[in-house]
Amino acid sequence: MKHHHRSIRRIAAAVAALSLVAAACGDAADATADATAEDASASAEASAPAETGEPVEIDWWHIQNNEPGVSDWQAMADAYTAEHPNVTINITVMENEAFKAALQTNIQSGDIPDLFQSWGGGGLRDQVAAGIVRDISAEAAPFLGDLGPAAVGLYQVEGKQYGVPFDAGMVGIWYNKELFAQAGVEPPATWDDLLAAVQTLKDAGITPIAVGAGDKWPAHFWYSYLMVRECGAAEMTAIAADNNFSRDCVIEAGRKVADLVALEPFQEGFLGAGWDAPDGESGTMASQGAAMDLMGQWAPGAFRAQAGITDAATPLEWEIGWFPFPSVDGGAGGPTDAFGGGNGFAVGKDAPAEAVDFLGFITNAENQRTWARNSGLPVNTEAGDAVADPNMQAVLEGLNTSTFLQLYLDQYFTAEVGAVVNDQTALLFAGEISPEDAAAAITTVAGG
Amino acid sequence: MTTSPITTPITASGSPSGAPAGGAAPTTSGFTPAPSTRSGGHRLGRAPWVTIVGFLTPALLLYTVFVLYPIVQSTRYSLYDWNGLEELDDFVGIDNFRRAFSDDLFMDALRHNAILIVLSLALQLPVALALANLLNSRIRGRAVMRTLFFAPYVLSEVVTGVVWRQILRPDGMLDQIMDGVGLGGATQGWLSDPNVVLYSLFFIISWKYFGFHMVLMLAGLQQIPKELNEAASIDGAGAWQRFRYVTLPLLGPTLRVSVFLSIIGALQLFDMVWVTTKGGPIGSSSTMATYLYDQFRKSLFGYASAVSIVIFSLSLVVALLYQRLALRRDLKGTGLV
Repeated sequence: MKHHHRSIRRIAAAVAALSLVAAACGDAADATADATAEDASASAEASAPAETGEPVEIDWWHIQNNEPGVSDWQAMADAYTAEHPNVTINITVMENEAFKAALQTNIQSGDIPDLFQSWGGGGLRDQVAAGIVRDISAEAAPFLGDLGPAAVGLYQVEGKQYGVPFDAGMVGIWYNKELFAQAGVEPPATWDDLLAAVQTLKDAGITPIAVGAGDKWPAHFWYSYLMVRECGAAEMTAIAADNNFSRDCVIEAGRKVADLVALEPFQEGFLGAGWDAPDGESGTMASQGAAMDLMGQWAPGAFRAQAGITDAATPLEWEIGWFPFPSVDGGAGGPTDAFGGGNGFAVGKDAPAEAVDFLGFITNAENQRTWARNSGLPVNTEAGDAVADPNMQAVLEGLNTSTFLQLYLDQYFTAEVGAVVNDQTALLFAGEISPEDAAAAITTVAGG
Repeated sequence: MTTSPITTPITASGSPSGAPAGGAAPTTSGFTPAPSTRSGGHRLGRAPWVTIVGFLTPALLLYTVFVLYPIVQSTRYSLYDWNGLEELDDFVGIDNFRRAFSDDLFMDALRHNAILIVLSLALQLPVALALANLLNSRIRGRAVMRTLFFAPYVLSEVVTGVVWRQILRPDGMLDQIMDGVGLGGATQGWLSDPNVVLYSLFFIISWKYFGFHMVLMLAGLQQIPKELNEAASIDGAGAWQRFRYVTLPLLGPTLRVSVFLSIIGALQLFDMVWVTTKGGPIGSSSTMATYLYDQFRKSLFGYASAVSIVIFSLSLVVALLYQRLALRRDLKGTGLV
């Protein structure tokens, strides 16, 4: 299949090269940029899309499949094409899992979108190794300086830029203020406080925590964040280097997960529940079926969607609060070690220069303010003022004050290691494996 | 249904020879006049070859590109450690196959498939047979019931999965009904308890497919001449004896096809499981196909190809063995064996 498609790709590439003069110019400028790396900004200007009027198509896949994300992206694409009439932007909106499957299929067939959702980390490293994304260091240099360096760094592999973030965030605990008040619980600052709060909530007849362990990754946030707390930045980086998870700090993280699970704090049927379903984690929170939810900054949007609210101005029926993951006594990680990641767009190997220019457009201060008002946290440092929601401000502040940001483990490692971390988390949540065996199983797959 | 069944002895021992004859009679006629085909070829000269090549080429081409070529490629990939992106250069021989058979999760999946097959044969088909018998007799509202029982089969597997997920969710429709009739204490985590989920799935599968098997059997039953049952009655056979010694033997070919379809269906089960449980929780409702899909999602294309070869071979062996051992008599004379 592969070879067969390769020849087709060659023909397609030849046709593309002939018709897309602008794109070809961009590539040529790229080569120059590599040769004379000292003057990156000059060659970046040279590679800016020429206004030749030659028609250019950008295939753009994104996964903001809820409102207002869908309309905002569409509006930005419309604004860009209005300014650049020769550019056509073909938008494909997909749900997260569907996107992953479709991208894999398209990679197999060699039909790679010009811009597609990326989380950086191991997935991007794989794509770089396979040569399906292209180095945009020089072309993106003019606007990357406006974006937060931690987020930008997620899309670098060996110092080269392959994508651009449009959103950043971190995981924390979203809670229902009314249920907390009802049980007389304050947001816990330490792990012991959290366990005590769980017990108090239970005693008040309130389900303390919603989790979608059936989808596995929502549950892995608990295991991973505890790893970050127990291991600290130095050990986490060391794990990334030697792939050995059989460390005391990882095992201790597993023990703490087991301690939590032993309190039976989760909603009924949590082992079979997903994240994004009426009977899943977000649906349970939306219908006030649980008090706490460990999730990224997208959670309030999902709660609103589950509650049937499509308009950004309408609040939930209950008051939502946020606090950072509790600190752990005796752990090497401090409270400013964050766990999170973000969203960005990787640039496909055959993408025209206009695609990179378009990324600069959607991450400019104005468009990032739109993003910040309607969807998530901006990466453009100027756009922070547009974050109105106090909870989002708290997340953004948490992010900005972080000394270390650990990318989600299932994105930081290869897909395979990510999957085994998720699998072992599910087993821990089901009480079917010991913390030692879970760590050993991950190590086996990671090759440490 | 011409003459042969009439001459069939109604004793159990005689039935095997009689049953297939009834099924085979109409089909053989299409295959027997071999000499005439040959003479036809003479009459038309080269023309048949043009026709044969002309009509066969498109089909053969499609078959090659979409069936044979992928099988060959999968076999090749199965011998490599490959993530689907990089060059195909890490040859590992049969390591991928060894890994599959030493992976507890795969063996669990295999076991789940086996349990589903056994349950289908032991519960689903007998229920279908009983209903078919019931609906074959003259009872009031049988057309309505027939339609009702068959209706689930018309739904897509995905729709079935989504609907049942809603019914079986915690505090969902089933739980509420059970609460309402005072069975609240017996509710389970239908889809979330690792010890229960596989049986919930089996129930959903049975719900969807029993109607199909029932209709198959109903068709089989209606081909059994009434005279035989009447004759048996006159000879003093009771209802059970008539069923056991007349109906069941004559229904043999239909039953064997039903069993075959059940086995193959259970071996390849994917859509409904994926929509309903994703093979979870913690892999307790996984099937070989969901396990395979998980490997693809981990980008383990080499290993996943090996697993797909295992599933393919297993299904092929089961199908061929079954055809050879059980279906042979039914297919004799059709040119398929």
